[in-house]
Amino acid sequence: MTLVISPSFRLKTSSFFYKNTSGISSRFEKISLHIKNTFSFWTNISDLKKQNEELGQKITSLKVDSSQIEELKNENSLLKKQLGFIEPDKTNALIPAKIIARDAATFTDEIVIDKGSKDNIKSGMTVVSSNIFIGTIKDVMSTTSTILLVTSKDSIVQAMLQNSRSKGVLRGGISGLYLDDITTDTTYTIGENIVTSGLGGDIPAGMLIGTAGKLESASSSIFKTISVEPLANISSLELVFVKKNETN
Amino acid sequence: MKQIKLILYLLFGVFTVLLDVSFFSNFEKYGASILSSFIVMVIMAIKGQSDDYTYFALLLVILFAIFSSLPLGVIALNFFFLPIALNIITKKYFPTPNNFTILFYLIAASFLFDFILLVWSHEWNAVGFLAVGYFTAINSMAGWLAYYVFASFKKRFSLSSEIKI
Repeated sequence: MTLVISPSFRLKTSSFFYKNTSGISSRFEKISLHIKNTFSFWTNISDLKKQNEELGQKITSLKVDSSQIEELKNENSLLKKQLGFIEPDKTNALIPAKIIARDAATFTDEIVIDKGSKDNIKSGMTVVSSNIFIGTIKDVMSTTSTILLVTSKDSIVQAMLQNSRSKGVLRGGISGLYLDDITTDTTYTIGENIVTSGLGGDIPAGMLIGTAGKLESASSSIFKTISVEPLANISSLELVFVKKNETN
Repeated sequence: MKQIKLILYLLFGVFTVLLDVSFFSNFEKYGASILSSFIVMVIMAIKGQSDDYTYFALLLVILFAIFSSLPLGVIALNFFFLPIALNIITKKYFPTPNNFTILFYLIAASFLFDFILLVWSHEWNAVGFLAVGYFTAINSMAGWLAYYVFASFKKRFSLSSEIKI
């Protein structure tokens, strides 16, 4: 009954159990991912060959882009120096964390990491993997925290199309990710990046989430809805990074 | 119930829940994965001679309240009231269930379990129904296999003890 009446008691009990079972949990997690990776390698071997060829071509084009970005970066830092801007230390802004548990029930999308309030984790902090936004911190316990994934049905993120700059609301769910409430005059290309818009102030702007898919709404709708292909493969993640927001 | 039995149930409950949240949850397909704790509880509710399954069910309610983000009402409905209903039906209509009856029970229990979650989540779409179907299929098959292995072991051990006597 206490579990129903007091959510803080539920959180404290969770903290106690996760603290004492995190060793076993992380071992189970490691074994399952090892099995999963081994199986997926052998079943996808022909796809991997094809992907390898495609990636080889991509690397060549990215090398060209990279050199151009490097030039722009140098130019940017030079201009910033001249204007007196101070660059924040980006390496200290990330807290690495291991995934120790996932919600086992269907229709829920939350994961538990091995870092908590003792590691300066606070509720609302953003979580990334390879610089791709994957969710926000929901509950913080002393040594563990719960992440509400962007793919969860309870997740609502302010996002936008990177090129057309049209803002919308990104919603999760079992059927996938959708960018809602986009104005009808918006034109976009399939594969265009979807990034956080920073509206509301909780999540920093410009964090990559996924790519735009096909149009899902009817032509008569007041707003457009488009499907979003997430870039991070959440089911195979082992390590995530909690990003300290500028306000934290 | 003896204290040692309670401790064993607690350890077994924690083990199966940890297995669900840290092991089987990685093999998720269409949002569904194997829920070993639920399978064990359903088999206990069908085959259990005593009311021990209610203690285990209650323990699972507490453990899932700790390890899952589901609301307590949904957890209680799925992990406590569902096995009680199963046990009542078994005792009344099929006191000695055979393999096919057990498979039928597992299918019905898994379907009801995930359907309750579907109602709670309001995910009324094709993917939601696919998740319910997949959950029912994998959990009833895994449960049936687990029961078959358990029953075979039980038979073998009871036979060997009879020979010794």
